[in-house]
Amino acid sequence: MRNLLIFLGSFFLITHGAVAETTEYLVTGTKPGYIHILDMKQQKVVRSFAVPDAGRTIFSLAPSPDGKVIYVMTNRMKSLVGLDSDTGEQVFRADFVDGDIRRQGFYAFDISRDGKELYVYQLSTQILLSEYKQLPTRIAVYDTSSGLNAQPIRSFEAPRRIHMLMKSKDDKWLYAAGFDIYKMNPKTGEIVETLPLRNWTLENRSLPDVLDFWPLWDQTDIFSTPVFSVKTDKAPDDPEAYKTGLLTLNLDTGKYDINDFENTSVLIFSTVVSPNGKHAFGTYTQLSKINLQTNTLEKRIDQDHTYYAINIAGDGHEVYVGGAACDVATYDAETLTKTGRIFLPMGCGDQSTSSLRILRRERLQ
Amino acid sequence: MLSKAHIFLSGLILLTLSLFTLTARAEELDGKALVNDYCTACHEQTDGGDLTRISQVRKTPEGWDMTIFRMQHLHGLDIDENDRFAIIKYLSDERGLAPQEAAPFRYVLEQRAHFVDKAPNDDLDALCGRCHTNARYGLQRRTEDDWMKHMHFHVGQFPSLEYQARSRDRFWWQEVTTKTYKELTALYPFENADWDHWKTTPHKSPEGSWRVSGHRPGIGDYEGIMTVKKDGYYFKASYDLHNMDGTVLKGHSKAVVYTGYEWRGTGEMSDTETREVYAMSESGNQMQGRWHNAAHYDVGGEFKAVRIKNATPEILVKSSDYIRIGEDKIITLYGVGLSGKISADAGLDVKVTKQTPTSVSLKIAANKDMTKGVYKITMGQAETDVVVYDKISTVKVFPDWTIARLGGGQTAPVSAQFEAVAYMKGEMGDTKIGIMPAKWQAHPFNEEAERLNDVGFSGTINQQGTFMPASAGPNKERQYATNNAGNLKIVAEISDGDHKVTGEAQLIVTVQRWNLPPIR
Repeated sequence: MRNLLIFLGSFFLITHGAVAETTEYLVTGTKPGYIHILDMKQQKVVRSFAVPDAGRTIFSLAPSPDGKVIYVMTNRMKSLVGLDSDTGEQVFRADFVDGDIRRQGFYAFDISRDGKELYVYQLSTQILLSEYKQLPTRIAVYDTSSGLNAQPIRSFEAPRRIHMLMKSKDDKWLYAAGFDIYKMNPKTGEIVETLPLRNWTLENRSLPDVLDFWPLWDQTDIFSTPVFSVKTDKAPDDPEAYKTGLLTLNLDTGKYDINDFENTSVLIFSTVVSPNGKHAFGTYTQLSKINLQTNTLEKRIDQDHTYYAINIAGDGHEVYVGGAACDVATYDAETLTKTGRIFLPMGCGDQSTSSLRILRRERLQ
Repeated sequence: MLSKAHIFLSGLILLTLSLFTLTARAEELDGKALVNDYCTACHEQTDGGDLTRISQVRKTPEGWDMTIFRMQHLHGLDIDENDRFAIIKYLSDERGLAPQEAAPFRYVLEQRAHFVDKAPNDDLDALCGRCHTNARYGLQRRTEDDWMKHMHFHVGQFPSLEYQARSRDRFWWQEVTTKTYKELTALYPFENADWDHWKTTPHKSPEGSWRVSGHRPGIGDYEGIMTVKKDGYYFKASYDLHNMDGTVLKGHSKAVVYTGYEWRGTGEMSDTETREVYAMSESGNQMQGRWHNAAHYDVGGEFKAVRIKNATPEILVKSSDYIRIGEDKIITLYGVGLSGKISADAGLDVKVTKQTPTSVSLKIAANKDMTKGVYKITMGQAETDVVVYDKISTVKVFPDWTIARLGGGQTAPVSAQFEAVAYMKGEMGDTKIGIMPAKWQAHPFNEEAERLNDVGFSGTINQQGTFMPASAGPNKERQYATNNAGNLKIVAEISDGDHKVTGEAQLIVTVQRWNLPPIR
């Protein structure tokens, strides 16, 4: 029997090796300018790469769809860098500065689903002799094959205060989250639809407060983020006045929802939707589990320390938290029991506000 | 946990106008020529001789200091310390603020750790006051065009500002470029009658002898003499002072007077390096402000000086403000021109035991059958009050709420200093008796503070009412590995005969400030 199992096992490996088995990794960044690839099943760091000219801090991250390149917003958000996920070699670099125009990102960037284009939100300031002149904010589009001196292949004006860019699953649209969520034509920048946020029409409700720069929709294609608002028909000392809700935008279907799930009692920085769509998990100093069928808080635990970013395994069994301090912790998604903790190497000085992304690629040796 | 608390005696590099690094050459320098040498590479000269930006703003010496600091660190200006000083001096003299313009915001120039900072309105509080003190922009004067350029600079230099709390709920950029710059122009205009007047007023020299008085929170009042002599470009002050308990406070300083009235000194007081920020009155006969420990801006003293020559008789400070019914007490009054005849309100038994033009000691008896109240003592034109009290009814802690900051690394902790003020019941409500010694304790402010043991982690309060915060950074001994921040109730207990009266304050022990510009 044992021999049979070994035989079947080796057969399985051989046949699947031929069709390039993919493995799921987690990617995060740390000061002073490193990214790390983590195997969460084996609870170990499998790669650590120094990002060239990082200016210490790694901001947002996005893996290419084939998992071969990890793109990093870095250098005080004045550069976007692509590193080979196996060797760490710099294969793409766009330094945003453009003559006397200082261009700077603000976390928001995404890669097209065909892996060919990068979309970066940029603030633009013209540095004149004795004054600065603010130019319109814009989205610059880069070709991923441009190498180490990448220049935009096109750009278009975009509203101010954008904090998140998201490509739709069919690659037809670019969503930009800011005051509202703008659905844009990625070729022209035309806003074809405005999903209301600041312009929501909830009665007796303050403006919603949303600021999220953690792109964490890897497993579901559903962007989710906490929304804080105040019921203006309630007394200021009434706990019912303060509401935490969850905004979800399905990047596949375009479905857009905002639902309150509790009276605000803790801060939540980022959230992730489970692969089966039944739950969302949110993190800050507490880890929260939200039931998306009833829009209620299902469970909440105190964490060892504050974690800003959260992601989830493809099978939905484990939740990962990181993006602050120098460790990434694992929780059982059902019970919220802590099951693991990986400490990050290379003289980690903090994950700062790094994204925590899922990388799928051939197994790294 | 508390053993981790550090007291930083040095290490804080406070960016203030220190004169220690200057050489004798500084006084021979021509500020105007240096501005032309250093600044015109970028700040172009117009036909009228103005320089772009520079000629459209007016600021305090600290404001110009910060501008040059920014030019050095962001725009590659390489400048010698002496030249730097001469430029700050020239620009402060030519494009400074009139005394009336700076007056509402002196608390920031004086580097106070505790102050109340009010914005002209809620919009400016959110737009500017959420990052800066409201004094920061209140101490600047710009043309309308330059206030607009200031908005462009802000987003270019600090791109995150549109995303921050209290900003992201408004269309920040649209608001500041259509409305706010005009509002600031109206509130803080470049052209102003006070400045026109001050620029053409001959300014007085501080040379001479000054009668000095002041208060050091947690320690008490002091008095004495300051002698100021001219030393080339500078002024040299020597201090011969006494605390109210008779201990000596000796010191000296080297100072520059900017803009005709802004005294900035670098010196020593009883072996501690100090900084002085005083303002001279237009008459040149008064000086007022604060001096502080160079490495700990939170530790310092109030300062008031009156020119002795031709001074109007005035009592500046006294060894005690109060006497309890049934007590005998010697109270010494310190001031100028104190040679007049003493008289006191009826009922207060006052005898002179010693009298000089600068101090008078009085033996005061508060007989058992006296009526409590406020009694006036006069000496010619000089007058003061002594409170006769029977029983303390209330204790108030000042400040009634404030912050302290954790310390660590290169950043010193910022202490909080409390004082207990006793009151008695009077016909018109509470009557202030004065500051009294108290027993000091820290308690959790609320249930959350109790749960997280803030009292055990945040720091300690001594019996002078000084709260010394603990060290900064994540603390593995705390829940959530959080830092040593805390929310505390500070309690002062004063013993009054056989009863005890307590007063309370709230103290937030918070995180470090990483940057310490002279104007926060």
